[in-house]
Parts: sequence; structure tokens; C-alpha cells
Amino acid sequence: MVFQQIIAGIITGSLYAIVALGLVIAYKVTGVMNFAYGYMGMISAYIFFTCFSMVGMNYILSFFIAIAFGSFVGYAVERGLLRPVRNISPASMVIITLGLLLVLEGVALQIWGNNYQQIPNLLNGLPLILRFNGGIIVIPQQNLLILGVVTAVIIALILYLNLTFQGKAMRAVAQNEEIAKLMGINSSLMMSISWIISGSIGALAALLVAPQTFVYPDMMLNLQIMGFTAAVLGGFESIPGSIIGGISIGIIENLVGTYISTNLKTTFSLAIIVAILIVKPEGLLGSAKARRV
Amino acid sequence: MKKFFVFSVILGLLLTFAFAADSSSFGVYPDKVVIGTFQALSGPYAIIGQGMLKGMKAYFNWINDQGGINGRKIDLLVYDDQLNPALTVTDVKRMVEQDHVFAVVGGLGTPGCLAVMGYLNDNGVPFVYQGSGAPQLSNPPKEYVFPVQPNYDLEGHLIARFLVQNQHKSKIAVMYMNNDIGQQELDGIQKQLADFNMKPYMTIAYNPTSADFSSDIIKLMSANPDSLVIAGLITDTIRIVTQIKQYGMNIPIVTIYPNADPAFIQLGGKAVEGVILTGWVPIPTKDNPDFTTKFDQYLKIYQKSYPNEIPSSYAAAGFIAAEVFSHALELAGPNPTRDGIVNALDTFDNWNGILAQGITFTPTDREGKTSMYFMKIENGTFVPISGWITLK
Amino acid sequence: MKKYLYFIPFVLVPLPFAGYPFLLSIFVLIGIYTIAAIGMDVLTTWAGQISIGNAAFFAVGAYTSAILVVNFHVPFLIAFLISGLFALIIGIVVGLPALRVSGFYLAVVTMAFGIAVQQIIGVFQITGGYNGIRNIPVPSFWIFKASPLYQYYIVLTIIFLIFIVLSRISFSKSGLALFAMRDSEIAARSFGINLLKYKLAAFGSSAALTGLAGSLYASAIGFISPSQFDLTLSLDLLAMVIVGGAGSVMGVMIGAAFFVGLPFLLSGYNISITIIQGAVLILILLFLPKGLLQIFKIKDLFKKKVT
Repeated sequence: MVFQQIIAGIITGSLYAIVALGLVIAYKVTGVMNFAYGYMGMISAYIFFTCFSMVGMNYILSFFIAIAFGSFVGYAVERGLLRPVRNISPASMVIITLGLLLVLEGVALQIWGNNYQQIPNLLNGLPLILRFNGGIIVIPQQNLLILGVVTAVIIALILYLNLTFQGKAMRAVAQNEEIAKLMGINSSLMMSISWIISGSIGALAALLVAPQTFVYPDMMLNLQIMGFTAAVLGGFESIPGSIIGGISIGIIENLVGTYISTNLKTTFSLAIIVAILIVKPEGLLGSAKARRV
Repeated sequence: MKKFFVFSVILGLLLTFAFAADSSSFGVYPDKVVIGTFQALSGPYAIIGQGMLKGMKAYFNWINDQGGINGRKIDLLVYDDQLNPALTVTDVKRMVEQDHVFAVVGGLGTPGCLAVMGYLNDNGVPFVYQGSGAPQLSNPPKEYVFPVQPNYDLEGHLIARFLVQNQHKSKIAVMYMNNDIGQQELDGIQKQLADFNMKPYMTIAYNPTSADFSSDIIKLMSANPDSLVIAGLITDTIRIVTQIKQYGMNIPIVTIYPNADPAFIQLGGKAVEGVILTGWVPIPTKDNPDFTTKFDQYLKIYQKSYPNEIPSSYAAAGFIAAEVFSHALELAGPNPTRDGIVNALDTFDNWNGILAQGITFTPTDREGKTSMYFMKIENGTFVPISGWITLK
Repeated sequence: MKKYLYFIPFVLVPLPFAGYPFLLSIFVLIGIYTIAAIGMDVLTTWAGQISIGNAAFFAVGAYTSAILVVNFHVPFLIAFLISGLFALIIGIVVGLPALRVSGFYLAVVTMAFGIAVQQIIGVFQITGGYNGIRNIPVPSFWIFKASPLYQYYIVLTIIFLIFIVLSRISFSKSGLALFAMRDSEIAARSFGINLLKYKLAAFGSSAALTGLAGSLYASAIGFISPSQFDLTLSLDLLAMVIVGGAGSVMGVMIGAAFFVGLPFLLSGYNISITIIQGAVLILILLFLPKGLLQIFKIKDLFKKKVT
């Protein structure tokens, strides 16, 4: 049962991890901690629902329309709302994204109403069953799909950031915008790209979790909270950090749920994370920064 | 300073217009009776509230088309509390203190009903029909509170008896929502099992807001019970059933009457096939032809307001709420008072309306309905698998 | 003295509405949220710390007070003070990690705390689990009945007292130290300001004020359950400060009126309230950085400029 719980934890955690990843990419390049992140993804889940269940398009097409929409929302929010006010204080920036969250929630309510909508699982067949001496592990097909998609996205992203010129340019902007500009990097383009990637990851996360949560305006609330926690645990500036952060939270949650208390699983997990932060305030893989007056 | 003063006065005036209400008391006017209800019209349980409201509206529209009751039309005020008790409390205060409703009819949701029950009773406002099966509503009986739905404790007893005697199960697991609904069902199940010298094989409490049940289901799988009772509401019950199926578990599942609605099948799809539910709103079958005629009448009344729509069972609940209140209002005579309604309701003795069947109230026993039946989801429809069952 | 005159309209406001108890209870709620939002303001505007977990202190105050009054029949006034004290202690404990982490990390730590408290309340028997606590009596003293008008004046008095205390602090040495810390921690430290003490003081007083508001809330609504103290409440408290105008009791009051009053005003129309709230929040940050208060051109009442 321990293995089984750990595997289930890894799967839940991988969802936390990609949400954290999306948050971190946008944060690294543009310095915005996006509180509306999950809600941007939620809109894409509704787009999928509209295409697939209301219009009757096919699953794959609807899926890609929704992801494309997510990247568009990411672009539009950064370019239209946040870019013009880049220089306000970080606290005000957080509150602007909070305002955006409220607007998105309201827009979803106004357009699609507040009923729970269903998105079917892509894979519904029998689960994968692994037997080994003395134990048995069951993994539902949808979970395998989640794991596969998340792994693919993470690998693609790491390759992109490390091997392509654009990816390197983006990292340069993340490290020091001024110097990157002097080197001839189009930092404005890099900012847009980071939000496009972030927006499409958010949409993807929403689509993966939607069959389980149903589609409704607050569907991403929990995932967003855990994504933030994962990002912070990982150091908020580190991509491997957010992946490790997400997966460890998923595992901690399931183990706490099994051996301590189902009802207090979030509480205990959060307590563990706060404890880690107190010991290591910059997160697992973050770096302490020298501050000047 | 001056501006601020002007601002406060303007704000005050605005609010006054927004809340301007006739202060003539008790909601009975020469041409109408104003009553109130609270329903989840948005939020997670909107599917229940919207259905229930439709049922109520359909019946009241029909009554009003016939000229109302004793010459007065029924005017129904609706507040959307999203099944959030904090909103219910302010909404009900508003109904009573601002809108001066005559009675509150058919409020939905256990938390909300329990939160306002005491307030309504203390203020002498009749509270007729709750969309809830909380035993605290009927026990102890309260002067102004009239529950109709069977209570969850009773239902827990019936489910346990059904599983043991009818299905011959011995390892019964219970997953329950960790609030009144789930706890009372569990309580009923435990008491009934104790009578058989048994106890639940395992129990899992879950937080009402959970969405990921994987760790609970893994626990369930490794314990391997022979049947599972889910005491939760529509969204979480479907999540659990779906995730159980995803893990490839094949276990008989019984769930409670608040889930017995076509929406359960619509939202759950193939995953909920084979789930057994209890029901208390009668459905027509071949062996009760009398009721089939009445059911047709119900459909006709409903479809007059909502053409071509098949009513949900929540709509049936709302319809029954409206029936019970309207009948009491009729009995209360040409000059109805709140106490008059109470006295009229206490004369109900196995009363049959259109859908409302076998409803009884006395000043000392306020359990309106105490019989239920079991049904199973087969090929996307509910199929009764038992007759009416009572505990006695 | 002049600044106290601002309270006169508030003494008079409820009189025309004496016959509308429901309306008065909305005013009462606005007052209660004002107190909680002042608590948030103390933390964010004065001390420069972000919290998105203040709903937890609200819950702590509400539950402490409700349990004392319902289970132990403690007089409300005592329960009220104890709930403030208890929230203060918890606030200081929560403030401890804040000494190590800052900025976004702190925001996430406070968020974690808020969610944990909500969950813990849902589990224990004494708090009534997810069912909550029902029928919390409305306090009444001597001949005063527990009417909304009476509650209104109680809440107004408390806001007035808080106003006086905060005005005093902001002109004192401690106030200056707080502002210095907000503007630059390192600079403040170099002036010999004990950051530890002031950060904890800011967390503690923020928690205490929010706890007191929670206590009033429990008795005004008469029913509390975990779902009332969610992340949305924490975010709303933060938004109230921004919308109305940070650093001023009047501003915070406007913010509270906007978030509490508006939904009731618009409940009859088919408009999603969150669109308006969100849009106003964004527009204010973009065009009125000092909040709605700026429209009325009221000067900062007690916030002394540190230049």
C-alpha cells in the first residue's frame, strides 16, 4: 500500500509541479507572481467544454484549441494588463492579478453559469496492474496519461530552455534584463514568450484535472494553492525546484492522508513545508540573494 | 468633510431605495400571500436548487392560474444562498425582517436549514419543508418547523438493513462526508448494524471540499470490503464512484436519496452504472396504476411552466413542498395567520396530494415521511428494486 | 481634535433606518469587516508585510468567542477580549516564521496558515467540525436589547477606540520605527531599530484586531462554520485595504462598504459581482493608487509622512 500511495502521490504531485512550473517561468522572466494563474487555465477548460460538449468537435481538436486559447490568454494578460504597469510595487502587482482572478471568475459565471460541467476522461479502460512479490500496484489509465503528458512537457521545456537560442535568451533576460538588452536580446519578445508558455501550461493543467474536479469557476483553486506552495518549496526561481517541490508535496499529502489523518492531510503537508521554509527560507533549490539598501 | 457627509447621505438613500419594503406585517395581503425560500441557484449544488425551485414555481403557477388560494395568489421570493449557511442566515433575516414573508417554504440544504431553524421558530415564522433530512429538524419537534423528507438517521438504518438482509453483505465500508449529512447516515448505519451484532468494516470520513480521493480509494482497495455506502452529495459521490471505477474496483455501491436524480446519471455517465440508491419521491411503475394517473397530472402541471422538460427528482421535491404548504394555506381559511398554518399542518393525517403521498404531522411528531424504497441505475435509468420500506 | 469630527456622520447615519433592521445589520457587518481590514492595514501598510491568511485570525476570534459564550456561558465582553488576546498570541507565533522569510515566501506561509486553520477547525469536536456552531446569542447589556441599532453603536464605538489608539501610535516612536522598517529593513536596522520586536508587534496587533472582528462577527451572524473563513476572505480583506485607501480608517471603511455592501445592493440584478469587484480593484491600482478615498480628497488622517 505504501508504494501504491506514493505512486498516487507522484501523479497528484506532477499536476502541482506543472502548475508551479508555469508560475515560475512567468515569474523568472517578468517578475510577476500570478495569482490568477489557475483561473486563466479554468477559462481554457470551459473553452474545451464548449468545443467538445456543446459544439461537438473532436477531442483532440478541442484539446488543442483550448491550449492555444490558454497561450493567447497568457500573452494578452502580460501584454495588455501587466506590461503597462511593470514598475509598480510587487505587492500592487499581486493585487492586480488578484483583481484579474475576480474578473475571470465573474466572466466564467456570466458566460457559462455556475453548474458543474463534465469533461470525460480521454482514457477510460482498465487500469494498469503491476504485480510483484507480495504486492500489487494499480494505476488508472487517466493517471498514466497525466504522468506521460507532464513528463513530456517538463522534458520539452528543459530542452527548450537549455538547448535553443531562444531558451538561452530567455534565461538571460531572467537573470539580468538590462545586460540581456545590451547583448541585443529582444527582452520584450522573451517576456511575451514566457507568458505564452506559462498560459498554455496552465490550460494543460486545467484540462488534465478537469475530469476529476469537473469544470466550474473555482475548479483550479486547490491546484493553484498547491502549485504556489510547490513553487515556494522549490525556491520560486528554479525549474527543477518546482518539479521536486510539486512531487514531494503530492507524496507527503498521500502519506499523511494514509498514516496520520485524511482530514488533516493538507494541514500536515503545509506544516511540513512551512518548517522546511523556516530552516531554509530560500526554498529547496533557491538561492539566497544579497540585498542592498 | 462636507463631501464625506454628502457621500454618507447618498449611500444611505441608495440603500433605502434598494430595501424599501412594505412594513405591513406577516406577508398576507388582500390579493396575495408572500412567502420566501432559499435555494442554491449557483455554486456546487446549483443543480439541486434550480431543480427544486422549478418544481415549486410550477405548482404555484398552476395554483395562481386558478385564482390562487382563497382568492390570494402566492408570491414566492427566492434568495440564492449557494448552499452556504452564512448566506442563508442573512438571506432569511432579510426575508423575515425586511420582506416580511408569511412563511419560509422549501429551503434547501442541511447546513442552512439547521442554521436558521432556531431563528425562524423563535420568530414564529412557519418553516414548511426543508430540502434536508437532518434528524434535528424533527427531533425534538418544534412548533413552527415542519420537515417532510425522511431523515438521514432513518435512511442509514434502512440502508444497513438492506445490505445485510437483502444483499447478504457482511463487510460494509462507509465513506461519509464529514458533516451532518454523512455523520447522521453513519450513525444510523452503525446503530442498525449493532442490532445485527455487526459494525462497519471500515469507515472513511472525507472533507466536503475534497476532489482527489486516490489515497482513500487505495485504502479501500487494500481493505477489500464487499460493499460500500457513500454518504455524500452529488458532486463528491460521483467523484468517488468515478475514481473507484478508474482503479478498476468492482464493488456494489449504495448511496443516499439526495443523489437520486437524473443529473446524477448525466454527470456520472457510465461510471455510475449499477449504483444503488434510496428514494422517497415515488416514481410510477406498473404495479401502482393509481399513482400513475397522479404522476401524469404532475407532468402536465410541470410542463405547463416548463414545456417539454422532464422534471428532475429535485423538482419533485420542490413540487411536494409547494403542495404541502398550499394545502395547509387552504385549510387555514380566508384569514390565514401563522398559527393558523401550524394548526392546519398538524391535522395532516396520511395526507395524499398529487405527488405528496402519506404525509402526517402531529404537534408531537413532525416526521412528515418515513418510508423509502431502493432503486438501481441500469442503462442510464433508475429501476426500482424494492417496494416501500419503513423501519417499523 | 478635528479628525474625530469625521465620526459624527456615522453616529447619525443609522437614525433614518431604525425601522430597517436588516439594513442596519448590513451596516454592522461593514463595521466588523472594517475592523478586520484595519488589522490587515496595520500589517501591510504600516509594517510592509503581506498576509493572505488573515481569515485564520478572523476564525480564531470567532470560534474563541463563540465557544466561550455558547459552551461556557462566559459574558460576551470577556469572551470578546479573550478572543482578541488569543488571536494576538497566535499572531505572534505565526509572525515568527516571518522573521526568517519575506516577500512572496511570507505570503505563501500565511496562505498555508490560513488553509491549515480552516481545516483544523473542520476536524475538532469542540468547534463543531464542518457543521460549525449554531445559535450563538447576540450579546445584550443591562437594559439594552440586542437590536441591530445597538450592535451598530457597539461596533462604531470599537472602531472609534481603535482609531484613537492607532493615531497615538502613528505619532509615537514605535510608529516611526514601523514606517522605517517598512521603507527599508536594512536601513531601519542600521538606526538601531529592533526589527524582531516590531515585526512581531505588527503581526500580533494585526491578528488581535482581526480576532476582535471575528468575535463580533460570530455574534452578529449567529452561526459560524469553516467555509466562512476561506482564502477568499483573506484576499477580500487585502482588497478592502487597497480599494478604500491604505493607511486610513476612513479609507478602509469605504473598502469594507464596497466589498460587503455592494453584493447586497446588486443581489437583485443578474450581474456577477466579482467582475465589478475585480475590475474596480484593477482600475484603482492603475489610476487611484491611494484608493477610493482619493476621490473624496481626504487627507491621510493619522499616517504621518516619514520623510
